[in-house]
Amino acid sequence: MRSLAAPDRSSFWAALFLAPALAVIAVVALYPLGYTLWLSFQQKIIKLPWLGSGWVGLDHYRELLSEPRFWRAFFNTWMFTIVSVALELVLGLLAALAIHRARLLTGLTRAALLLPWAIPEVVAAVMWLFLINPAFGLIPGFLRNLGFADNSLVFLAHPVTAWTVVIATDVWKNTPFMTLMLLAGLQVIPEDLYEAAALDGATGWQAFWRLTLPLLKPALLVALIFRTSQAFMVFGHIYTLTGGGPGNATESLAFLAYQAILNDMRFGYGSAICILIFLSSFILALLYLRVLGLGEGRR
Amino acid sequence: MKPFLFRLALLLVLAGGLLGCTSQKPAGPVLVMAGGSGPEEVHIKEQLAAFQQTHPDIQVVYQSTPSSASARHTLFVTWLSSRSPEVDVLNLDVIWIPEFAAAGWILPLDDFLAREPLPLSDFVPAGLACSRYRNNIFALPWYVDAGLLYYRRDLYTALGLDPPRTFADLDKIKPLQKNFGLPYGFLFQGQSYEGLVCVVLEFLWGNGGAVFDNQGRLVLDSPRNREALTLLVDLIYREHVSPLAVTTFLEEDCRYAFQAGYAAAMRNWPYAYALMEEPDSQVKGKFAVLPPLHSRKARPVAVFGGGALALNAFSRHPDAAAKLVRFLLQPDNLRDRALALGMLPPLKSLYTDPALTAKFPYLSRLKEVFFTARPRPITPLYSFISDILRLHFSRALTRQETPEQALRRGQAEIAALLARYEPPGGSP
Repeated sequence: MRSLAAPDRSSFWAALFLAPALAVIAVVALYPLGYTLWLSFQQKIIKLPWLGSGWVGLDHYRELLSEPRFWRAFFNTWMFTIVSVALELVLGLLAALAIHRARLLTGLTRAALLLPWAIPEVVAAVMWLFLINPAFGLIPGFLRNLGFADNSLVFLAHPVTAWTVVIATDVWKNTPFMTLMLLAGLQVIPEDLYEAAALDGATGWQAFWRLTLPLLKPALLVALIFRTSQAFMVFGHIYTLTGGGPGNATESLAFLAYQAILNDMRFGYGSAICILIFLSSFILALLYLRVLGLGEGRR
Repeated sequence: MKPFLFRLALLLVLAGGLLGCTSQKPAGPVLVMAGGSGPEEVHIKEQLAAFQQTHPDIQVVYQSTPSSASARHTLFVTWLSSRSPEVDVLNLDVIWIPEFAAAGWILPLDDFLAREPLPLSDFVPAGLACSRYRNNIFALPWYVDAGLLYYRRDLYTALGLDPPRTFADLDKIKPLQKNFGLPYGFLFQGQSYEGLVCVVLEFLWGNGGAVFDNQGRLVLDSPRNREALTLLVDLIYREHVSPLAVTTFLEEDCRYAFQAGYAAAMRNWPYAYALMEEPDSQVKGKFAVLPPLHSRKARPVAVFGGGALALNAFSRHPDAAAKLVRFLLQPDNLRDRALALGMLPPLKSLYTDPALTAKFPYLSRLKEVFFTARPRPITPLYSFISDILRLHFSRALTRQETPEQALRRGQAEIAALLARYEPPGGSP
């Protein structure tokens, strides 16, 4: 933005060359967003045409905020996002550091590391469903041998265990992505910086906090924003694993939006949920930029 | 830019060519019928071919749609709400008929029936009840479903036990399990979905309860319903007759477990019968079916389900489409369908048909279960009501709510829903 505002001649050309990209963004991002916002102020339930359609203002938002089911999904989504992204960050960083330091993996093995990430979401979820099946699944079978009672092995019958399954599978699937992003970040940090630090007598710990982490910030930011916004829109995963159950215990906001729009055909109400999802993940992205302080970075 | 434009032009030409190919129309009307996929599709195509033999002026194209009921529902709503004339004959789940009728998406069939009557009195009563909205008939039942109780006759006989008929008889499952080392006692569909609503409704009805009474008043939060729902929850947590795993079970999970010989009894639909009689089944010849369980206070009542044929209100060829519906509802075709797919016919006279009773021996014995099966609430708002019921029943079954809370909250939410969304003139 700053260079756009600069007064030199090249800014005209910059604007010109940017125009197609901006036009594409306007068509594929801003227009749908604006339309969704407009829909969220409308009553539009195509299954119930006798209700008619029309402007209802903030009614859908008021309705949402008064519904326990919405608040449950809202809390669930934040909890899922924070817990799973934090776990992925820690595990991904550890893995990236280990791989980078030990240089033990070459192209082929690195590709193998990415495998869970490359498996389609629904396929992975179905595979996990088999693994945790209370009757013939591998994991309950193992725990049964350790002496756990049958009723404690039905993971999807209890909110806490159901969430554990959802988060564990998400971490399994997405940690490789985090690892890869951070590994790329680590590889651009010049080796001589570490040599200089070692000459100055820095310990490995100090080098990590003072050198590695600050220089990893750009990669960290990109990885976190990607993962957080993805996690905030978690749907396919939950739809396949738990169907939002038991009851509504594992419903996420995106799941609720799907239910409202594609099941109940309540387009206005569902759009209001989508707008709230958008606002939440937008705020999260801004927070990252602020906290990681890359807003003014020029690297 | 140039290669891009060139490619775009090429694409448009190709697309135009494709459209051109499909729009070459034959002389008569082209009907499109939308229904399920898989074996159902294979079988219906044979019947459609037979139809074309007798109606050479009409061409029929079959459009397969997802087998998952909710996915098909979404697809149909998308077509019909955009007033698409592309599909003429629709295979609807009976619970969608009032919704589609109230929306004006399917044609009243009364005129067609007045011109060329069908033996309506031979149709299963619940099927006709589901097909009526206000004072018109909007669909015709094509196949019927009703909840059944499957039990291991061999094990019950070995212990000298009477077959399970009442809720109290579930007590006898424990000794049965112990004696034969069965991991599971009584299985039912307990995941949070439409199947759970059906299971619980049978328990409520079998205890003399209901969601709506005969006057159409909402009576979900009633002592009889509390008793029935508590009983179902206790089966899992107190009696340990049903495993906790049923809270994650759909129809097929129940069937697999029962077919592997793991359970003493199971609530399921008729489709399971033929599959469990197949040669590789562990329980072949060892099980029997009964009406759903009930209390001593009430009679057993099965949930009525199944499919019906309806005409798209925006169809360009309603007369030809009506001919196809009439053809598919001929007793011979219904019998074929039942024999091939295990989808039971909607005509009462077929329940004593020799070919059918040979394949499904329980049919004549249990015909009353089908003839007296009760439809789920018949209202255009059913899908919303079912969603509320499903959530609260599932929460009760996983002890996130007590049965009392589930019914009280469910009642309040349904009342609010009716107040807000009910069509002008109220539900019929």
